[in-house]
Amino acid sequence: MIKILVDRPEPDTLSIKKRQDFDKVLRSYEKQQRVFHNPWFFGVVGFSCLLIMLSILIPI
Amino acid sequence: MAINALYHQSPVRLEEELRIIEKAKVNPAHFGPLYSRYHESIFRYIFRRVEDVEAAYDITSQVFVKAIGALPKFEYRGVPFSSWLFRIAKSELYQFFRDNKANRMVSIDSVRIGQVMDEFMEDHSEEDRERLLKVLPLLKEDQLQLIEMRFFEKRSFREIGEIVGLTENNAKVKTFRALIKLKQLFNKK
Repeated sequence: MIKILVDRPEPDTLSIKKRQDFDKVLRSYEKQQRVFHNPWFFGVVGFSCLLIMLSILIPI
Repeated sequence: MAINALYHQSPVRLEEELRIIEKAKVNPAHFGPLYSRYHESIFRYIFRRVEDVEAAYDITSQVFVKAIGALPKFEYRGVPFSSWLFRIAKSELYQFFRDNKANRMVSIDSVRIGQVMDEFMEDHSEEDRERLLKVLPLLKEDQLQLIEMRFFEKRSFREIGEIVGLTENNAKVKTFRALIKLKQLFNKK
């Protein structure tokens, strides 16, 4: 569903500038990086993959 | 037509920007000046398509998080950095619509409606304008996007092409076709 809005008031430049927060962006980026670079992440993912593979390969 | 100063950059500014990009590829903390330069234009692009203002700010932040992550893959091949950012914004926007089942929005200034109407007919009434607003949502998404960028946001065909991944000429042809389609829908109603 597409909604059409005519003459919707837009925030002014000053209020948009006030909402700029590069530190927050950087923190979010670093947080994402930490998840993927954490050996635990790959440990858990790798272990799960191994279990799935084994459950497929080894007949019950 | 209004010129987008951020898009039409001087060679000096472009070089300076490329230097910042190279630095930011090594250390994301150097991305700051690019964030300050493009935050407003990316926010406005998103705001015009999303109803919730706070969601627009959140998506804008996410665009820059994604951009920093993808920066090592960015190579300058004539396409301005701003167009690369708008592509990320477009993709984040559609991700938001999918995840939240949110309504796609089109924000239009009444003056710009008149400019689209001028493409159809010389004299148009208030009733014609209302009719145009009713048929706009009937366009396909890619056609609506082109009309939106060309007529409501006043972007050049070159910039539109770079954002949607078309050549300048193709963007021109497809926008013209979208306009014909809009005219057909308008005359049918």
